Parts: sequence; C-alpha cells; structure tokens
Amino acid sequence: MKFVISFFVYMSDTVNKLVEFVVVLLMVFLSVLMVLAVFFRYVLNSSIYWSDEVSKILLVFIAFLGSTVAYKHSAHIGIDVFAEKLPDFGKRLLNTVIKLSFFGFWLLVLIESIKMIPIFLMQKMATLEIPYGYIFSILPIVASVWIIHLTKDILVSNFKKP
Amino acid sequence: MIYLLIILFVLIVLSFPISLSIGVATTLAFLKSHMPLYMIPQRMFDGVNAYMLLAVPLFMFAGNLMDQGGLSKRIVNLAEATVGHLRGGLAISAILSSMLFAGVSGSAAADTAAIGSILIPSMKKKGYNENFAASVVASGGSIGVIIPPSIPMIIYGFITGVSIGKLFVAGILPGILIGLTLSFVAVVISKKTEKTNVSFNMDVFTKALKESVWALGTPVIVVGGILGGIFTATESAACAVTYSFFVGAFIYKQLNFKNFYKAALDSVITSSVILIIISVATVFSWYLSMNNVQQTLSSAFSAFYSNKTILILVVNLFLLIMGTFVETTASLVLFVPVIAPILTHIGMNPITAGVMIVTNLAIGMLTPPLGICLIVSSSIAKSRILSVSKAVLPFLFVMIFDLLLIAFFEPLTNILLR
Repeated sequence: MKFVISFFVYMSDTVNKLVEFVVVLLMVFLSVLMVLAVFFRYVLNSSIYWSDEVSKILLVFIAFLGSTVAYKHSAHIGIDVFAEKLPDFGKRLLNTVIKLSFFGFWLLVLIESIKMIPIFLMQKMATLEIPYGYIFSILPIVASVWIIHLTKDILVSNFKKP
Repeated sequence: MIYLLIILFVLIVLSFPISLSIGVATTLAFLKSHMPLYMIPQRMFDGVNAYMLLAVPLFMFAGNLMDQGGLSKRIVNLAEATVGHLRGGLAISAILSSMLFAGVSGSAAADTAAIGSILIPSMKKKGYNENFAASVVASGGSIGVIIPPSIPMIIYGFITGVSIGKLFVAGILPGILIGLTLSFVAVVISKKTEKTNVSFNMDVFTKALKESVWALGTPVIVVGGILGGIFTATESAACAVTYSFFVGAFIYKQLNFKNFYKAALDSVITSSVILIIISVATVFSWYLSMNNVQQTLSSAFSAFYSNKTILILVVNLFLLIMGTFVETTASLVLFVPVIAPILTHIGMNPITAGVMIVTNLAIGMLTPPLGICLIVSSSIAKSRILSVSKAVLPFLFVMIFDLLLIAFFEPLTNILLR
C-alpha cells in the first residue's frame, strides 16, 4: 500500500508540474496571438485567417487543463460554513465523499468522451481542416489527470498512516 | 425537475464545489430521465468553445500583470495622494483605487485581492479597525464587475446575445455612482473611529501622478478603446495584457520571469474555475431546456406580469437570495436564460437588465457564506468572515439602494449609449 501511495503522490505532482508549464505556455501564446490578430486587422489591414479558430482551441485547452491545476491549488471553492460545524470524523467523511463524487464525475466524462472521439474525428474544422476529434481528445486527457489527482488524494487521506 | 434543484442545493450546502454540485446533479438527472450520457462531455466542450469567453482569461492576465508589475501599487499611491487627506482617507483611497483598477480587471475577486493586499496592511498600521478595513476593500472590490471590463457582463452578453461593448459602456455611470455612495458611507463611519491628519500635499500628488501615468494608461486603453468603439472586448483585453507587460517589464522594471510565470499561472487558475462552471452549467441548462423547465419557470413568474415594478422587485429579491448561495458565474448561467426574457417581455431594456443583474450579483459577493470579495478580503486582513460581514452591512444597504436606482432610473445606464 505504501508503495502505491507514494507512486500516486509522485505521479500527481509530476503531472501537475507539467500541466502548469503547458497552461502557462498556452496563456502566453493566446495573448501574443490575440495581439497579432489585432495588429494585422487594424494596422496591416489583413487578417490572420486562422486566429479565431486557434484562439478558441487555446481557450478550451486552458479551461480544461487549468481546472486540474486549480484543483491542485484548492481553488474550486464551496460553502464550508455548515461543514465547519461537523465533528472531525464527519468532516473527513464528507471530504472523501466529495473526492469520490469528483472521481465518479470525471470517470464518466472519460468514458463518454472516448466514445465520442470517433464521431468527432469525422468532422473537420471550418478553416483549419483539422478533425475536431483531435481537439476533443483534450477531454479524456484532462479527465485522466483529474483521476490521478483524485486517486492520490483519496488514498492519502484514507490509507496513509500518520 | 424539483428533485434536481433540491439535490443541487443540498450538495452546495454540504460544501461541494459549485462546478461539482452542478455536474453531479445533472448526471443524476440524465440517468433518471434516460438521456444519453455522451451529451455531457459534448455539451461541456461546446460550453467553453466560444470566442466571446476569450476575454475572461485575458482580462485576468492583464489584472495579474498589473499587480506583479507594480502598476496597481502606483495606482493606489495616486489614490492615496488624491484623497488621503480627507476623513477616512485610506478608506476612500481604497474605493477610488478599486474604481481605477476596475478599469482593467474584470473580476471583483482580483480587484479585492490587488487593492486589499496593499491597503489593508497600511490601514491596519494607521490604526483602522481590521474588520472595517476588510469590509471597505471588499465592497470597493465589487465595483470591479460593474465598471468595464467585467467578466460577469461578458457572460451575460454571451448568454443573451446583448452587445458586450454596450453593456460595458452602460456600466460606467452605475460604477461611479456606487463608488461615490460607498465613499460617503466610509466617511460617515470613519468620523467616529478614524482621523487621518495628513493634509493634501501638491508635491506628493504630482510625484504620485507622474509615477502612475504609465499605470493609468491601462484603464485608459481598455475603457477608452471600448467607449470609442475601436476594440471589441476581447481585443482590448489582449491590448491591456501587452501594455501592462511592457510597462511592468520595461518602465517600472518589476516584472521578471518568476512573477510573470506566477501571473500567467494565477490567471489560468482563476479563469478556469469560472470556465469549468460555465462548462458544466451549459450541460445543466441544456437539460433544463430539453425539459422545458425555463418555460415552466417563466410562467411561474407570469403572475407578476401585470405589474412591472413588483416583477422587477421580485426578480431582484430572488437573485439576491440566490446570489448569497450560488457563485456568480453559476447564477448567471443558470438564471439569466429564464430571467432575461421575462424582463424584456415586460419592456425592460436588455442592457439595463444586464447591468442590474450584474450589480445584484455583485452584492452577493459581499454576503456570507459564499461572498467571494468577503472571503478574499478577510483572508488578507486575517479576520473572521463573520465579523467582517457585520462591518460590511452599511455598505450592503447602500449598494441595495444603488441597485434600485439602476433598476428604476434607466438614464443611468442609457445616457452614455445615446
């Protein structure tokens, strides 16, 4: 058990560092692209024809990948006024239930989004002509990252001996 | 349907994060009514695959760059040099700098964090009560979503199809009104507890003005660009990012690789929390529309259709109550599709309605248990949320008064649009 836990701790932290680096790159790329698009439109009077589609792809990637980083930084907040009043045991139980629900939800997204990919591979984007399936693949990837983080947290809070 | 809402509220009360609460409630609803589950990831994807939402991370990034690049600090200094000598000077400075900073940041939480991290410590040092300090900053921060740019207004425009540029322009006067009335309350309260006896000093003022000229450029670009019809919201956000990057890196020379990385990462985190809520809430509202729930709800409101005033009051009361429990983005995505058509049906201008709804939800950011401004400012002041929320009450009353003015006095939102 000890080995499994430390494996997941390692996985979760490594994956998160990688994802953090990727989202920062995407954010910077998005900003530069948007500025260039404005510059081309107003100053050079021509337009980067692919900028709208690429920027939307970047947004989707930032939103979903970012959600896993936000989870690692405990940024998905809820109302804890009532939960605060629970005894310690209740708090821990509630915490596990929340993690398990997250787990269930992203497992569902993982399974169902993999089913969708073949359908989306047949559709091509309007200007870029890339199959939508490539872009949509971000969802199963993100769901897997969520599952790694959640598995680690559930294991650590329930099975790790202090 | 009613089960769906009950499950949602039970989960929220049990401290489930809002995105998860909506996700779980929707999944259960899908299972119960045998809807195809593959629609969930598909709708989640569509929910954020929208050009208008690009402005969300970009405005966050601009705000964070201003913070890390020392631009916000200069704006606060200028505000202090301008109104610091008045009674409750630091408190008014906090509100004034929130208004200036609101011209760049589209988020109330970012506004509160930026101003609060600078001004709450110095207010405490000058002997202000910490709860009062936190409550001033929190209520000032809520102006962040009313003065353009504004992320909730972007989301409102995204849902209703109302022009985001027009919504932004309409928010200017209400934002100034709220700033003035909040400052008034700050002066009245400070009279008893506080005196700041620095007198107005022309030299200090010109020095602060000179130093902050570059920083003030950002709100000028954003608000001016949108007012003048030069940029769309997304374009002005991109320009604000570039401008604050150059000022922070090359003029104030405070931006290095490390805090640039931090600014980018923080922007991704805060905006993805908003975007993921939009994403799952899109599935939720798709489910509702498939089951004609919106129609049922609007017919429930139809009892009030004959009286415009009462209907507007009922809608506001409903939103105020919801706003205390449900996070702003989620409130917008869940309720606006129902409420906006009702308000237009009784003849309310959709732009006025948008500003009213956003102001209403901004009040929700000041109320426990889920008031984001309250949470941010009390964590900076290191005081308890409940004691800050008592200190915030007078500001809350004034904001409700402002809300009614915005709702019933249309020129406030309309006059700049003519």
